Amino acid sequence: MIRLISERIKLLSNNETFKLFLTYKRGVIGLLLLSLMVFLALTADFIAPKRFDEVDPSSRLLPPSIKYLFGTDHLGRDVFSRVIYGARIALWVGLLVVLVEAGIGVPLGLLAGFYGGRVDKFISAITDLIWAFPPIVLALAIVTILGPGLTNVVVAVAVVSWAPYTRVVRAKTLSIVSREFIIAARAIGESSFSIMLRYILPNTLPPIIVLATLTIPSAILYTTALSFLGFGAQPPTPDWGLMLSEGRDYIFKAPWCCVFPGLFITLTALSFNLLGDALREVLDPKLRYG
Amino acid sequence: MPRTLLSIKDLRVYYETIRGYVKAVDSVDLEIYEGESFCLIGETGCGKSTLALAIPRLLPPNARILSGSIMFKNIDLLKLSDSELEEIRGRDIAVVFQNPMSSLNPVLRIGLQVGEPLVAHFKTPWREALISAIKQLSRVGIPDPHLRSKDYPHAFSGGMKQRSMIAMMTSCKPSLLIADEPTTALDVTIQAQVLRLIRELKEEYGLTLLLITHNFGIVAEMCDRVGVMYAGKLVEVGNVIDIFESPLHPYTKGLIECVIARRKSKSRLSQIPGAPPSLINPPGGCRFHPRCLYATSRCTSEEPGLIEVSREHLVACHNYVR
Repeated sequence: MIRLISERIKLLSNNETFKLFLTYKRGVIGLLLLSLMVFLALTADFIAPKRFDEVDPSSRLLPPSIKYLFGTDHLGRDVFSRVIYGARIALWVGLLVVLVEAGIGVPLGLLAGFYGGRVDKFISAITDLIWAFPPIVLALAIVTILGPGLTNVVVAVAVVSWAPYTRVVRAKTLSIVSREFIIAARAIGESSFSIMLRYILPNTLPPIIVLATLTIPSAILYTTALSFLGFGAQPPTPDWGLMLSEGRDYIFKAPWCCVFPGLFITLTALSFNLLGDALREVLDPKLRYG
Repeated sequence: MPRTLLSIKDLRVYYETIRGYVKAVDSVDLEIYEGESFCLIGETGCGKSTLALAIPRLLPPNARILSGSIMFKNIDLLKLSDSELEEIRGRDIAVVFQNPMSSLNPVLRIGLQVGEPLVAHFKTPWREALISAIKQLSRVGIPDPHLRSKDYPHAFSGGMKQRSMIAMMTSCKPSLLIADEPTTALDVTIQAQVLRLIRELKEEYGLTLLLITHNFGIVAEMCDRVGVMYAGKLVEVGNVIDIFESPLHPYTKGLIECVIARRKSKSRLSQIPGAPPSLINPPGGCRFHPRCLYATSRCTSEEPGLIEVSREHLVACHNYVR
């Protein structure tokens, strides 16, 4: 499996594709923005001037300055440090949500597309049902049952938004399953399981990668929204949504408490969207082989 | 008398469609002997591929096998479970398909794919499977096999893909190789090479070959015995010399008349009048009677069975002509 994925990645990163990607300026901007976020998240311990939970009552709600780049919040915590540590949480949560979503959605899509018939009808019905729910409401309901906390938010967001994966993988599987190399795979005696794993799944990876880059921002937005509403990360976690929520009371007096976390949420979501759009076009077989 | 490797009895394969059942293979009996090359010939849509793909049960999901038995080495393939059949496919029965361009997995390296059957059937470690895949690739005439085995299928030409397919399918040394129009999608110069390769491998591994084609040149080149199919029925079976020298069924005669090389003068190319019938409602009696020059009233009502006219030469016609 790992070998397969690494093969796929090698194939994707071959010169031709990468060169094509470089011609998409928006995609390159997205990649640079994302790299910046990842860099901040990885090196937060070294870059951040203060710890994210270091309270300093003597310097509350200070405006941005050389000492406090993004100002301080109502407890005198350094907003810059908190935003940087927040990148760690946002990216980790985004990645985790997408992994759980793909973990639910991809196998279901494979099964639906491969077996068709009743299996397909059943899985598609559930997918449509999930899709029809307003996601934030359903996620709220789930978090209410599970209790607040970042892990529960990840579960809740993933449970309400795996449907696109099933649809995309199902559609792609349907188009692959009737191809001759699948019959050839049967002809050499491959079992259904290994046909799904070794023949269909690798061929569905490009749309899955694109979908992942496009769903990470919404995953981040949902989790920050839940944190904003008080269901997600609990203080003093430097979650961007939570920071927005805490800064809300001081929005006129100290707008920097909200502006910077908000800006970083936007930039992160934007970076993934730009990247995803470019990837979608680069991985489009019509452009690649046409 | 050679030993029978494959014996098909009363096989009926229908396709379920919105407009009704397409009777693609209707009550076909066929025996294939060990070590021979048997050729199925007929027009497009007469059920040759369906008959061949029914043997390893590789039919599309809307196909229904309504009756019959397919005895392969004294096992009825139609009675096996899916997992038992998976063991036989690739190990004992292999299939080479018509279109090499789409028969290989585009995201796996050629070497891995050629070695795959060994891993699937004999639990060969990947390292060894790759080594034997490279050997196999060099056997089928891929230049620089250890380098090319690392390529993905899109880097291969059609002929090389078909060679790789053949390498993959013969890597377990199966006893029956079904080749479903293996050269139709290739250009003429490559066709001969691929056919020669199949014939060489057949001798080398002692394969039995079931070849499907609509090309009489290939039949003459490759085969020991021929089965002629028309509209889901086997209408004539015989050894290749009998079929060419003294075809009995009017349809076989017509087909041979159509071969361009046999044209004696510059007259118009001969053709069989009419078109193959719909297989949803095939004509009653002999299915060929609407197009047959010799049809009598008996042909419209009574279906002819295969009768042995001379040794090993069978025909399904009421008034076959010598």
